[in-house]
Amino acid sequence: MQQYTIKGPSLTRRCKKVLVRIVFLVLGRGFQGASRVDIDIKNEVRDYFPEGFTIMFTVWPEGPSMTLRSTGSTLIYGGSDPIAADLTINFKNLESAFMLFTAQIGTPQAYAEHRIFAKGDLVKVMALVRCLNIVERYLFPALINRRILRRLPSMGIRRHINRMYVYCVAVPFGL
Amino acid sequence: MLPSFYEFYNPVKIVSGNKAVDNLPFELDQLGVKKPLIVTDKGVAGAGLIDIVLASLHDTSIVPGAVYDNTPPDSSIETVNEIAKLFRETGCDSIVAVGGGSPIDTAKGVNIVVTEESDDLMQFMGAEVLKKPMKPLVVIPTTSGTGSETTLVAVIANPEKNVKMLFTSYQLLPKVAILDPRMTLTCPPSITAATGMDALTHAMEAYISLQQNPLSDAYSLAAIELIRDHMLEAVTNGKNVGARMAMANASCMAGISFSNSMVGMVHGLGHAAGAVCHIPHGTAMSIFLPHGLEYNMEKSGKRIGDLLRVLAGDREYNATGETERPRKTIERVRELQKKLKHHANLPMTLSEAGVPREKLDEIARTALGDGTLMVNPAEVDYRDAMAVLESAF
Repeated sequence: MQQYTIKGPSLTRRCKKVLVRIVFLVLGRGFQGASRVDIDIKNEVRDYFPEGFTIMFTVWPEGPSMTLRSTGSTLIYGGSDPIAADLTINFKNLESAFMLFTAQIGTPQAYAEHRIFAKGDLVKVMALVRCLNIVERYLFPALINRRILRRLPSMGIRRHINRMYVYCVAVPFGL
Repeated sequence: MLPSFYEFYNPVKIVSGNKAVDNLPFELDQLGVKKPLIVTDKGVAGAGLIDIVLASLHDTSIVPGAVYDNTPPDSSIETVNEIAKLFRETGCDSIVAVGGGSPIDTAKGVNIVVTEESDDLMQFMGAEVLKKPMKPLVVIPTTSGTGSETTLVAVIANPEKNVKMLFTSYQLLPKVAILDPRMTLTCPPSITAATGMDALTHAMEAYISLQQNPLSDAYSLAAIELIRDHMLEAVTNGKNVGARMAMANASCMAGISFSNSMVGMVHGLGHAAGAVCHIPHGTAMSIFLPHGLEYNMEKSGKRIGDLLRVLAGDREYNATGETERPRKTIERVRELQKKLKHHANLPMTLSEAGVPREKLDEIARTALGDGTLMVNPAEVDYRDAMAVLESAF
């Protein structure tokens, strides 16, 4: 009988993993930057994420991961080491994370297709998703956001200025 | 059109028919258990329904460890933790839930706590996070609406925070659901109407949900047909065994559907209204259903229009232009609402249900934390929720 073995990851899979790591970094810094300047995110953080509250996005079962910690008014990017977070958003596999982070699908579709599952208070998950929608609005152009969001968060002058900060300071320098 | 990706799971054994409760000892024996904890409420016990359940256990080796009949109308964390303690103290090995949504969801919550060997349900909040196989749970519904006998969902109130928490896990699915018309014959018209509208809302919201799939659609459509043909008869002539049986099956089918294609904003607002103002869930569903359909018309008009075929029949469907069908569907729902108002005095507005206007803001804010909004076709923010609440007031 022929012997079958689990082969190592293909080049494509390794590339996708690298890309997901990069997106986690961008997203983490995006969250951090946006939470400093966006009033709606600040309000969500103040209402739902008390000081010290931790959040992790991770690809089940062994990463990559990205963590955030609340200061009570903003979110701080905590790096890529997995932690026992208060709220964890798990992607069931790398492909699902890749699809979401390359804007092939949006969060509602990913949730509807059971590609993600959450551990923690669902009320806080909903608040996090509202923040994510705004962060995605900053990070992606409208053309992509129209595909992945059910409704685009409004972009007034304030948010255009915020976007410059997120693009030019928060994401490249982690500030 | 097929969704690009979907999941469907329903392992619940359905035992449906007159005197089906008499099969309870056999089903428990098949599950290898001997000492169930029976979870119910005072209303169910007062109507003599627990006597039917206990009578079925005569001359068998199955002896209930305890009968807990103090479940409140809104299942709460405290109740769950209290019953879990009773389960352990009496050495029970399984749970039989007899009642409407509250006893069933409470039983699911108890199952989480005893299986995870914990004292606190709050540790297990989230979606798809429970892994351990649970104690066998058999459900005997006494209302036709909640569908909880076939769902992976438990809605448990947190009175401290005035919210209803959603627990979803495939592990929460009962092993057996027993649908026996004797258990709903005594249900009064007002509750029959409200729970029937709950079942209709499950079926319709599941059909238009972002999570909709061909299998959940089949259950939704079958449930709506049964409700269309039998709900008014069950309300106006509660002793009609056939109508009761049909509604029990409709509720069960709608439950299977929404367990695999989550409900949306009608439930989000209903959970919030229930948590903040304690209006009965079925009443809230009846009030919000047409408003929720209207709100989602832009995103899901086609699918709302499709529902006209089952609500009104082929002739009206074919005679109505495609663009008009969604409105006609909503008209049909409103007509049903009016009939239920006439026959069972079911409130049609929030004000009729006793909700004070100053509570709308709190309801809207609470609804934003409800997980059902995630799969609602259209985005719902605070202003949207307030607008829908105002129109439903």
